[in-house]
Parts: sequence; C-alpha cells; structure tokens
Amino acid sequence: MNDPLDHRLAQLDPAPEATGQHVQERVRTMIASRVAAEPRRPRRRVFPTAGATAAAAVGVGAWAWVANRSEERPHVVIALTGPSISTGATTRAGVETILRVHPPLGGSGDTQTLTRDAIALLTRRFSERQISRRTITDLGGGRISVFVEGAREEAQVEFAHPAAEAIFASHSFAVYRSDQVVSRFKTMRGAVADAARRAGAGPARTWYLNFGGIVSPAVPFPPRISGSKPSVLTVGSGYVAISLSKVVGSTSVLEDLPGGGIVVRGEPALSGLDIARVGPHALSGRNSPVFTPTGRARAATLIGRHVVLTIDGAVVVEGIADSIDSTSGPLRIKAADGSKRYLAVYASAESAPVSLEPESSRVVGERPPIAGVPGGPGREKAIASARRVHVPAAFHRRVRGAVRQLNLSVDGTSIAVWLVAIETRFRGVTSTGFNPYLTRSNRPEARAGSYCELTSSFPTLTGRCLDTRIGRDWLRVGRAAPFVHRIAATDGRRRPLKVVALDNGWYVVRIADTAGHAKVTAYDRDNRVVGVVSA
Amino acid sequence: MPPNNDEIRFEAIVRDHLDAVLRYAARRVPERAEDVAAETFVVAWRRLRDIPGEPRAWLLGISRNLILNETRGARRRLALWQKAAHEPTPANTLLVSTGLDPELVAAVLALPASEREALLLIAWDGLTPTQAAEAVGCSRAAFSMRLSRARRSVTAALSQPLPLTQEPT
Repeated sequence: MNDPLDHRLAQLDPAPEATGQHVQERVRTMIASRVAAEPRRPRRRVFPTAGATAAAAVGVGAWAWVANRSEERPHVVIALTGPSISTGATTRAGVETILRVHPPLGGSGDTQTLTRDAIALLTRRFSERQISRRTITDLGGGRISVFVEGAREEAQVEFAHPAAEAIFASHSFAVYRSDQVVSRFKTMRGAVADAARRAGAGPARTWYLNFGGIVSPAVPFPPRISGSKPSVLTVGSGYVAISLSKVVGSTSVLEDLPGGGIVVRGEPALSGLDIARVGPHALSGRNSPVFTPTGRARAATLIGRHVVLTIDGAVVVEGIADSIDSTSGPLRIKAADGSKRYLAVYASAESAPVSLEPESSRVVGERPPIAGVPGGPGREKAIASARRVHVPAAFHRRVRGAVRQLNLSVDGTSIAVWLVAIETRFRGVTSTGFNPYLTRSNRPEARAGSYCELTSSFPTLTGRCLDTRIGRDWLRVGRAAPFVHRIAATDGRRRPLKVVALDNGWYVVRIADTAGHAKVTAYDRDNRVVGVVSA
Repeated sequence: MPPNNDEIRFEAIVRDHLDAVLRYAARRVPERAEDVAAETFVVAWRRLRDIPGEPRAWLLGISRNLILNETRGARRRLALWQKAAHEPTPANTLLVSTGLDPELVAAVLALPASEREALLLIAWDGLTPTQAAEAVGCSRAAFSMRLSRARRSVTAALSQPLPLTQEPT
C-alpha cells in the first residue's frame, strides 16, 4: 500500500469495512454444519513394505514395487495391484498399469525420480477415475502419502521393496581425486557432501541437492535453478550436470551418471574445464562423449597444455591442445605424430554436444534449419554453433558394451574421471525400456559416423524433429521394453497417428498434423496397457 | 468430548481470518461471498495439515480457486447474458457501481484479468506481494511483474482515459 495508486484504488474497495458480526456468525454456522458432516480425518497408516500381499492383507490396496531382474540392466516398475485405493471402486485383478521408471541406478536423485513418477502415475490414474479431492504428498525419502476422501485409511506407501533395496544397495558413489577413489558413499548426497568438503566448499554448500540433484533421462529440466544457485549446464538427453562454480568460487563440478559413477572435480587444475558429461547413451551412439567447458574462453585455457584422454587406461587422445577449431568449437589436439584430434566443447549453458572425434571423421550432416525449435535464441545459437557432431567410430566400438573408466588429464594431472556403464542391446531391443517421455529428437539410431541430434527430455511436441534421415515431423517415442508388444498413438482429437516400429527397437510417431498433442500407449501381448504417455 | 488439537487450530484460523476471506469474496462475488467463505473453510478443514503457518494467503488462494471454478462453469451463461444485455460483467458492475473515480475504474477494467487481480490483491486485500503471489499461485517474481505492469498501465491510462466497456479476460 505504499504506492499512491494503491491508496486511490482503496477508495474503490467495495468492502472496506470489516464484515458485520451477524454475517460472520451466519458463516460460522455454515462452516460448523459443513465440517460436522465431514468424515473423521483418516488416521495415518504406514506400511513398512508396499507389496501386494501386504496391501491385500490390510485391504486398502497399495502400490507395489517390482523389480524385474530379467534384463541385464536392472530397472524398477511400479504396478497397481489389488483393490483400488479409491472410494470402494475396485479395479481389475492383477497388474493394472506399469510404469517403467528408468534409470533405476543412482541414489537420492533416483529416489526422487521414482517418487515423482509414482505421483504422476497416481495422479493420472485418479484423474482417469474422476476421483476428486485427492491428495498425494511426497513425503521424501522415497515415500508418498495418498489420501482419498471417503477412504477409511490413508495409505502411506513406502518404497521399500527388497528388490528395490537391492538395486540401491548395489550402487555406490565414489569420490575421485587424481584418479584415486578417496571415498565411497551409498548416496549421491553423501558423495557430494564429501566432495564439497574436500574441495573446500564445506558441508553447507551441498544444499543444492535439495533442488537440483536430480539426474535422470526421465526428468525434465529441474525448475527454479537460477541466480546465485548452482547452474545447470547440460540437460541434453536428460542428464543434468551442475556446476558449483558460482557457489564455491571455484570450478568444482560434479555429475551423477545414470549408469553409475559421479564426477567430482575441484582441483586448481580444473580451471580450464567447467563440467564434463558422459552418459551411457552417449557411448551407445545417441550422443557423443562430451566435454563441456563453457565456451571458447574456457577451452582456450587448455591451449598449449598436454591433454590425455584414456579409456580403461588406453589412450584415446593425446597431444597438445593447439587451437580451437571454431568459435566455441572443439579443441584441437595435436598429437606427436602430427595427427589432429578434437576434444570438443559445449557452446553454451544449453546442451550442444560436441564430440570427441578423429580428424578424419566426415561431417555427415549439417544442421537442418532450426525454425520452430523451442528454446529461444540461446538454444538456437548453441545448436548452430555445434556444427560438428559425430559419433567417432573407433571410440564407439571401443567402449560399447561394458563399463569403462574414462580419464582426462591435463599436464599429467588427472582432472576428471568417469565411470560409464554402457547399455547393452539384444535382439534389437535395448534394456533401456519404454521411455515414458517423448523426446523431440527422432534419431532412430545414431550409427558410427552418422549425424547425431540433440535430444530433449522435455515432454513436449512443440518444434519439429530435426533428423534428416527419416524426415521431419516424426517423433521418437523410445525403445520398447521387452514386454511391450504394440504401441498406438492418437492426437488430441483421438485420431490415430501413424506409428512405425523400427527394426532397431525404436518407435516413431508421425506428428505432422497433431497441433502439438499426442498420446502414446504401449500394450503388452495380452493387449493390456503397460504404459501411457501424453504430451 | 473436548476439542482436539486440530479443532482448536481450525477454530483459531476461522476466528483470525474469516473476515479477510469474507471481504475478499465480497469484493469479487458479493452475492455469493458467504458461500465462498464457508466453502473455503471447509476446504481448510479437510486440508488442515496443508495450511501454512501464516494461512491468510493460502485461504485467499482457496477462495480464489473456488470463485474461478464457479465462474468457469457459469462463463457460458454469463457470455450469453452479456451478449443479450450488452452490459459489463458483474465484477465490472461492482467497480462501476461505486460511482467513484471513473477514470481509474476504466483504467483498472482495461487491465488483463491477472494484472487486475494483482493490483487489487495489494490495494484491497492488503497482501504483501509475497502473500499475493501465494494466493494466486505464481512465483513472487511473476507476481511482481504483473503488478508492475498493472501499475504502469493504469498510471499511463489515467492521463489517457480508456472506454469503460472493455473487459479483456
């Protein structure tokens, strides 16, 4: 009310005075009568496990976590079993809906992912059943609370299925320093705290995980990261890397890799690089291994220095960084024998992959026109500047199919170590599973030496697909899990969309005329819905 | 049976904020203000655990949603009514009926609904920008932007009056 305009507006207030006592009494009576008619607040009931048996035993239904270990890469599915949580309505017996949550590996970030996905699924289910006044609360720690009005119980589901525990137990986060593991932690939070402490940031600097430590291809860009908070530098195909530089005043960097491992760097030698990013998809062909100094200035600090990148000890790139190929482009490494390799660079905070590539790699495709690509000029700039995007053939073959350790050193000092889990393929279907999120890129499969496209984890259909091989207007849905037998898609008017199953396991949907809306449904062999995604 | 803690807390919330909620509703839907206020507190009872420590903005947000829900259903009827009567909406009528400062009224009515709401939450309901942002369910920054735009538009319009019949929504 400090603005003079507010005082002038206050003169127009139709209710400037306090309401009369009789009005308040009347409303109080209304409230009292309505509240008295409300059912008693349900008491909270906690299930230590959320298995179907336990759920059936207490008679309220629950969500069960089931770990399918049949695939090489463990994953978690969430399934609705037993009677519904809803107000007496029963669902079909058995599994109603399965949502693949991937990647399952990881620590607290994945827990958040699982929880978020579970909430999304619950919300969708409740919405379908038109159950009103639902309350789904993320309790943290992998637990959610579901309250449905009229139900006699409040089910607090704790994701404590033994299989899920096993997954998490099998995974740990390591903190590296100069190529040596200095500590291991069960959770990413613990690893980050330790790394931050070692980097001199102190434990108080680890708070960022509360809002930004979410790493998953299934998770869109973490919201509300700006200002003095750590910056998210890459999102790419879902990986999120966070720079602590704004916080700790150095270049401490960490990255959670869905396939395992964490990158933590806080040494003085890191001044040339802000962040690094490698993911399993990168090494399986969808993207290239990426090193992301923030632009030319960062890359320039490496010029004249001896750079070595190794994979499991084998040297992939070694030489003197002698120039930058183009503005914000890859750093050219000149080997002793005169050959040149490129250690590539991200152009901006937006993800724009630049690969590690031999000089002999040919540029398969130039960037197509980017009209319609969401993200604004910054993204366009990033895309436009990342002109050389290749999958280095030799590199690809070398690292595929196993867990590898990548090490990058400058002037003999190890500055970054990655542990990379490589996804494996069988019968043309990967264990990645059905991706519940639509991606803008429609790259069916990036082969060695072929054009690689940016992917986006944003569940959006806006913008056109950029791939030139199979044409525009196709949306990559994802690879299907083994239990997915058929995929169908409809547009906003429920008209069927053309779906093509590629021989490499990818499904693509034609979205030319969808006006930005599509719903994709996956069915199993019994024609049951096993996954739904709309965007 | 003595009241439990929930009931005690709820009673305190009603006692402290009933007037604010009533006035908020009366400023927007005077004919249904009491119903909206009552419904707001019923929702508050159901969601007692969700109520923040300072519940005023939260309550006004509930009231706002209730009004919007009702308005949404009635919009078609309202449009027909407007079309037939060639009259402004009840909300506009409320402002116009004050008979005060027609230039200011015209300027406020010319604002987009979200900006007008931002302006009035501050001027009428006495919320801070942070509270008002909570009430309308947006970020503080977004609310400040709306408020700033609204003030700028109104200030600019005061020296250049706009017609009364415009009601952008």
